[in-house]
Amino acid sequence: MNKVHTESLDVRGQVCPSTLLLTLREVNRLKDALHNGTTLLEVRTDNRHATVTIPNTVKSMGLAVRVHKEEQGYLIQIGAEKD
Amino acid sequence: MTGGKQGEELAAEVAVDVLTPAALRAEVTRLREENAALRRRDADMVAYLRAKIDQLLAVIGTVPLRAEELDDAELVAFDPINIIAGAFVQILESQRHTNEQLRAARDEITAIFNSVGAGIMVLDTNQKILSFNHRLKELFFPAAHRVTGQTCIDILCRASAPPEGCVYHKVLASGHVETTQAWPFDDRYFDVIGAPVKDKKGAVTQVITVYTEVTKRKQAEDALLLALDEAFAAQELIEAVLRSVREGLLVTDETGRILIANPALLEMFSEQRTRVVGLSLATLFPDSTLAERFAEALASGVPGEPFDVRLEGVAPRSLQVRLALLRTANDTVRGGVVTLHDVTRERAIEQMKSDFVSTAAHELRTPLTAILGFSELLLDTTEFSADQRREFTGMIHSKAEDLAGIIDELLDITRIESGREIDLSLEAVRIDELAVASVDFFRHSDNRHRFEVSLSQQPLLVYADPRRIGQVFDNLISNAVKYSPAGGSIHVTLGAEGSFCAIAISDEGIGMSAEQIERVFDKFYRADASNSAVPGTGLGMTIVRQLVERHGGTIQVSSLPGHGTTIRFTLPLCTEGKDT
Repeated sequence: MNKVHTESLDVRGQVCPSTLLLTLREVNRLKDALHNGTTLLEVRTDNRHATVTIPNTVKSMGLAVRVHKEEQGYLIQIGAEKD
Repeated sequence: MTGGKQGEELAAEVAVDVLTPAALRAEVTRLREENAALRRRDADMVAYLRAKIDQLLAVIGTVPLRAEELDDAELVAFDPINIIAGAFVQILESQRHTNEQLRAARDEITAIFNSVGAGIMVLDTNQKILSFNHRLKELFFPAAHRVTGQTCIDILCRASAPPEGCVYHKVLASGHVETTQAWPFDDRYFDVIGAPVKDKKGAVTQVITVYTEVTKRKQAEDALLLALDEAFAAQELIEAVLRSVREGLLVTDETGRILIANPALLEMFSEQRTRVVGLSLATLFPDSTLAERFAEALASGVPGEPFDVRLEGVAPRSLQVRLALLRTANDTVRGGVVTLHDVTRERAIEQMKSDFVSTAAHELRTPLTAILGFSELLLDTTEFSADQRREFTGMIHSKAEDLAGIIDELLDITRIESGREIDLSLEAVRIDELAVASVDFFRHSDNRHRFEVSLSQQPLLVYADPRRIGQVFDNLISNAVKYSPAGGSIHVTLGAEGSFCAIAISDEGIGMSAEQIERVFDKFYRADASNSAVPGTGLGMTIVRQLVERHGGTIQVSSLPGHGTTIRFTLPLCTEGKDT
């Protein structure tokens, strides 16, 4: 099993739509690596609205999303969909 | 290059562009207006950008971008449109990929839909057919030109109301998957499954019905059920026959292993069916030749003649065995049937009859010898005195009476045997007088026993044939005398018990065992058959019971070996009507 590279994006302090736009910019940048499953993007946010907008958008882009509640905000993991 | 030279050249250039103050003011004004126009255009451009960005953000489901969050200069540098466009490219790619998958899935489903062996139909909630597969058309309307849009009740059931077991209506009613097994349609049968398609609110919007033809299976099931019914009926018939057969009956396979045992046989062995079925004949009849004969019959194909086997045990029995062979259609022996008829009683009677012949011959011979002897004396010799001749004649008469008595018994028993009743000449009779007369006879002819008669204070009047009741007393007292040792007492007691006269005759003789008591009324039975010194035919008690019962009475025997015997019998007392 190939090791998956993890990229991090911290958008804490930002609110929507900035959190979404910053996340999408990273997703665009890492597009191929995210779709082929070699990279996992971890987004940290403390904006609750972002836990809805980010997953909705990246899911429609064909990516898989998981949201975890952390002590200071949320961790949103974005990666390739599994077959 | 010097500094003075440079200043001169510059002054010359400026001198060329030097404007008049008015021209300069006009140029400044123009430049200001041009700058304002540029600023307005920039502001419009940024406003347009913000509007478009907000529009795009709304499409992806988030809030508008506030100016304080990103000023105009940062907005241009951040370039949200480019970001969103990049996201849209991915969304479109994902959509395209999804569409490809959906198309493939649709093609796959269509292929399955049309190649599946079951007929499938999709209906809306108004019974209209929305789609159907090839198999459904083949099954139900091969010649129909238009199916889609028609209602199932018109095109399929062709009825005014839904048929019984209609899965479509069951699904609409329940909202769940429903099934109907062996749904009859046009002389065919179908297993039908109905499944609902629901909207987001859970309301049924469509019903998918799947029809699998099971006509052959149903026919096979029906045939099987019919065959089972017939098999059960045949089995019940066989069991009824087996139950009704009074003989014990065993069916075995070709090895002699028991397959069937009827209730009569199980009763013979006091066994349960499960403990007999599966046994071999040799195990069930260990001490007999039955298994051997059965094997011989199987080997030779000839069942042979009936034969007896003896079952030892608490109550030994004689069984007559008949063998029969079970043959298949091609005449192969596949087993046998063993019929067991309990002939214990018949064999005992045969033995008793055999004993009786010798007893009767002996009984007839004894008085006959005396008659012959005394008559020869009288014929051959004339020297006897008149008293002697009278005595001899009396002896001949007495022995002739004995002979007559034996012959009477034989005639009575012949009557009983043939089912004819003994004729009675009924009249009101003093039973106590009959008893006393009989006792007196024995008292005078036998001085070895003591006779005691206990009578009721009142005369006892019965409605009876005096000769026959006298015969009863004679028989019973005679037995008491025969089976009592010399010096023993014989008691005769008479008394009224309700509407009956109860008579008891007791002795202090050898008594009888329970088995002897049980058989004491049997024809030809003699309790002490081994003792030929005691005269008797073995018929007396049979006749006594017949006579008592013919008079409407009952008779019982109680006895203990070594402690004597008491015979009690009753006769109806004479009522006033009968008395007169």
